[in-house]
Amino acid sequence: MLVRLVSFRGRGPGACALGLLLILAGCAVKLIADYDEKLDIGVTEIQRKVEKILTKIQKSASDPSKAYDVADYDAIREDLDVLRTRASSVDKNHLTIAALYRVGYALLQDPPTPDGSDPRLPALPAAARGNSLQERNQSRGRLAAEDLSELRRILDSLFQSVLRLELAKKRGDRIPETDKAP
Amino acid sequence: MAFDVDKVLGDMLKAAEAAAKAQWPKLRAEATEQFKTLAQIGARIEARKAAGTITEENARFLMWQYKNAVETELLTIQGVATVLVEQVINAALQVLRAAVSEATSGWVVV
Repeated sequence: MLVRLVSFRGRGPGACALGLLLILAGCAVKLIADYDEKLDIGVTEIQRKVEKILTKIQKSASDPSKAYDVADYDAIREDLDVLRTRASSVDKNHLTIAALYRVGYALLQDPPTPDGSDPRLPALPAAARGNSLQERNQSRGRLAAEDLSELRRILDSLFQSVLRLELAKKRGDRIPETDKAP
Repeated sequence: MAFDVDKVLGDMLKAAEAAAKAQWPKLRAEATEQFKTLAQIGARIEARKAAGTITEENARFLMWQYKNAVETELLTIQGVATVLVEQVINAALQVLRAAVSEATSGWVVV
């Protein structure tokens, strides 16, 4: 294919404006990071781990502390740390990073918190203290079947929000539907 | 104070509209569905609290989890709106690109 190469140097403001227009026309704007399949898979894996914990709690709902195993939560913390580091390495990804912090707030006692250098990331609210899944799992207070059902719905919604945000980065034109937890 | 589902849902949608900005009309229907589900969860917890069928510990725990899920959904709305804005800008640039390409018959700018 024959193409013509053009230089606008020294050709005046009109030529410069045309040059700028041509350059703009050649650009694509990116306002948010791209879809990351590993993040999608990683969040789904955390959801699976949470579902296992909930099943254990359900079996000893009269005293959830009997179903508590710190290793379950350590594994989730490790997964979240890896995903957050991965998300942080990508430009224009603060919404996903913020969502991952919120997953930590929901699940972990003493969750990782932002260092305060980015005001867009959510600090740990005072109300979160004592109300993570990990803390509730250590408590002896009974969880009724209805409580567990509501908790499942809430956590499903939380994970779906994180996954829908990631899937939206595939540049669909609407909020994508996600599959329910396996 | 009683949990007013309509008021809470309205407040959630106002927050979502602020997050979505100009893209809100495209997102309203699906966001309303998401928030309706969450508002109903909040209403059920409050109703059980009022009826004394949930312990204080569980009510506090579930309400915090619920509020955190709402905040996370707002992040999603903001993200999807950002993707939509990006698509609008790039669609306009695509039109510009086509027009420039036609006008310059395939010149490459250096």
